[in-house]
Amino acid sequence: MDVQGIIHKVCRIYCDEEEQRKDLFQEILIHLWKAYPGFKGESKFSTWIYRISLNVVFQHFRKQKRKPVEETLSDEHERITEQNDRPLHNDEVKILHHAIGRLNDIEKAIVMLYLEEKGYEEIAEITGITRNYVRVRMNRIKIKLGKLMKPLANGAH
Amino acid sequence: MELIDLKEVWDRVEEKESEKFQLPEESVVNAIRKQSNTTFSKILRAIRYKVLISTIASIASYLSVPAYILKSAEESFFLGILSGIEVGIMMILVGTLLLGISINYRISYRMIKTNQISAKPLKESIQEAIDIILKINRISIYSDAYGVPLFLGWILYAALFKHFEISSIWGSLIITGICYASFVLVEAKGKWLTNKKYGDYLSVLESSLKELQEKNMHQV
Repeated sequence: MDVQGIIHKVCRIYCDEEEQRKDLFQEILIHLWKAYPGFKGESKFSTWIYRISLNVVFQHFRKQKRKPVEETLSDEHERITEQNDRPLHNDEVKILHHAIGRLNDIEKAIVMLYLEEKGYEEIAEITGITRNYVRVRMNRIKIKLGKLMKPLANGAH
Repeated sequence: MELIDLKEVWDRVEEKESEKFQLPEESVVNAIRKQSNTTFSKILRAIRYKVLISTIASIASYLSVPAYILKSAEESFFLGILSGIEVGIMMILVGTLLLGISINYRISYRMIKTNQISAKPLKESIQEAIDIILKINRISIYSDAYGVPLFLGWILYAALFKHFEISSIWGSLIITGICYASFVLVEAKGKWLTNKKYGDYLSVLESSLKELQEKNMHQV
């Protein structure tokens, strides 16, 4: 299992700036390391990692800074766009970051798990809400994302 | 662009980035060795210091009691208004208050330690974090809010009844009034300080918890 991959995804979705990401990455690593002896295998290992990582996100209080969309597009994404075999549209990455960046912390967690193809059951297990409520929240997020992405998508094409 | 398209972009970004950001084992080991700087880790370090100070001060208060009582007949304390026995009793009260503070901080310390490595679901973990912050705030506010009137009341009692010819009704009223006023003031100051310190963090946690509560379902 790609543990680092999971941590990177959590960091990317919650932090705009490179420095913040590095800090959060390190915090999650420290907490995973400390928590590992307590892992009893009662849940899937990935579920356990997501739970610890998200708990660290909420312990790692960072002052919210509202930034223009353009600034949240990091240099690394620019490079990916250039290096990719199947080129990513710069606009697409921009829309992705703009849309996710406008969600609140809980919505970010749910949408990240959804994009990672976790089922409602596993999302419920990680977040501690019922499967039914995950579905309700996901529907709400879809509507919200749709509204956020529509003007940008129209502008991009 | 729909959510399904977003997923495609997400997958492609992740695919490229995960290749690029794989840290070597050495870097991971170095990261683990570093000191954690989450809000909870900072609180934990502050609490450790408070536990130490309050425990030492509590022991010192208890240890001073026999000395004050033994000197009771010869000397008076606090500008001559309190006898050794009275100071001894006050030290027992102060020691007990400090011991209570120390025990409560120690309980909070353990709660934070457990929460830090908790693999509980997010909702439960956030609720726990809120409870911990509120508990720490309460200890901080009420240790001062009860401590200051206790000390002040004792001094006032000795000063008023020993040095001034004042009726017991008036004396009691003055002491009660001043103690109550000092409680209200110190409590307000404590609330203001804790709100300044953890208010933003607490409201982030509370709004996140609210987001996870199913009573919001009717809004759909």
